Amino acid sequence: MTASSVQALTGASKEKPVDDIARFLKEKSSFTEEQINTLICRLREAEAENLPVSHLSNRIKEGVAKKREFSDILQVLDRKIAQFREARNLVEKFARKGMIIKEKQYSIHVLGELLEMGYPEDDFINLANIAILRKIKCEDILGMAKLQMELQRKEFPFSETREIITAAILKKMKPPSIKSILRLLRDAKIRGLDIEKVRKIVIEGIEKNNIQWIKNNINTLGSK
Amino acid sequence: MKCRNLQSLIQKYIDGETTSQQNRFIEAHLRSCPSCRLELSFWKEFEIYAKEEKVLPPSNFTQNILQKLEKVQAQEKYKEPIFLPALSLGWALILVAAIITSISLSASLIMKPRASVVTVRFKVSAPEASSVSVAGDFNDWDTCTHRLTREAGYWKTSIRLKPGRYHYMFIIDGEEWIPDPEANEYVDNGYGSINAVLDLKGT
Repeated sequence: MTASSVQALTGASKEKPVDDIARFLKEKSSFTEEQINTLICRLREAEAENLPVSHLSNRIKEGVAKKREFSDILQVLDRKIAQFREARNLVEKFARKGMIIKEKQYSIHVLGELLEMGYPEDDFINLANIAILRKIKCEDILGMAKLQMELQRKEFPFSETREIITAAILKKMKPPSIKSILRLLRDAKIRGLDIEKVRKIVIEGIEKNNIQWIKNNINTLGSK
Repeated sequence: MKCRNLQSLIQKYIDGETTSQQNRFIEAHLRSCPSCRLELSFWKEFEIYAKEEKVLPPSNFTQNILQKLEKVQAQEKYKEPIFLPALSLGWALILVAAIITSISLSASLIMKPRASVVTVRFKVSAPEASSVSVAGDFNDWDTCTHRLTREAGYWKTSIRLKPGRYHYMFIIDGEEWIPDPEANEYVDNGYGSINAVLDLKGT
């Protein structure tokens, strides 16, 4: 393993991301000086706007590793910058309203990617309002949003998890507990139970803070 | 294969420790048994929780252990006085450190906290492949630095990483890029496919 790869692994490089990418492009790409400067200019602008630059530079490295044309890489970079701007605007808007943010760059990064993958902006707004109300960190509600995304991939549309996640956050439940509850919903789906009724039971059970109550009521529903 | 037989192998199967013959039987059974598929999915999620959970000893852990050791010392005084000098405070602290280490190692399963760096195990099933490597934000997307080794039907490697959010992909036979099928998160990479995401910060 080379010294540079060890640095990359542990994130120990003391170089700024923009300087690092300049060196990387000179060593690893066949881009012209002008093309390299164009990419670096984009990163400097993003840096000035307080966007997650190291992530942007990783997209450039990925493009180079995948042997993509300069124009493809520039297009990806511009799209990512636009997404991060959108995420930053949302994060800053809710920060002004009193949402606690421990790591702004990380929050912008995660939210930008969630929105890009189709996470509904309205759902984030809903969670952010709850976060302000209950003094929950932005990073924690993003964890819930990621969970919603994961469930959406596992055949739970946002419309089925939105209310449950909201109720659970209001009760300050942790993601593993929420996952356990959602697993009951999934099992009910497999058993062919009326999902609307199951959802109501789940939400009521969250209100009561009683998973066993939820299980019993779903079983009762199944035996009818 | 019956459900009962599968359940006795399920943990080994998730950990990639079953033989290729066992894998064939298990996968054939899974295709026809929704109940076992559910069981497998449960254990896979359980593994994710274990990966996400950071187990830390309670704040009074050291103090409690030292108090218990003092009691043990007092009891042992009457039995084996000859060993008493060996249980000095220094030895007690070493013992406490050893206990803490063993707890964190056994509870984390995959990620072994050591300072701020964690060891992450990458695993992918690619039975036909002759080489597999992993490239991502953690190694400048270099396809050569981290090659996986074949073990019991799976390709595996471990990498020490700092907390962060990393995109990555597996490279099969040096040319086919695939996202980790077992990842919790995926993101469109803009280059016509999706990257798996490993978030060691927001867990």
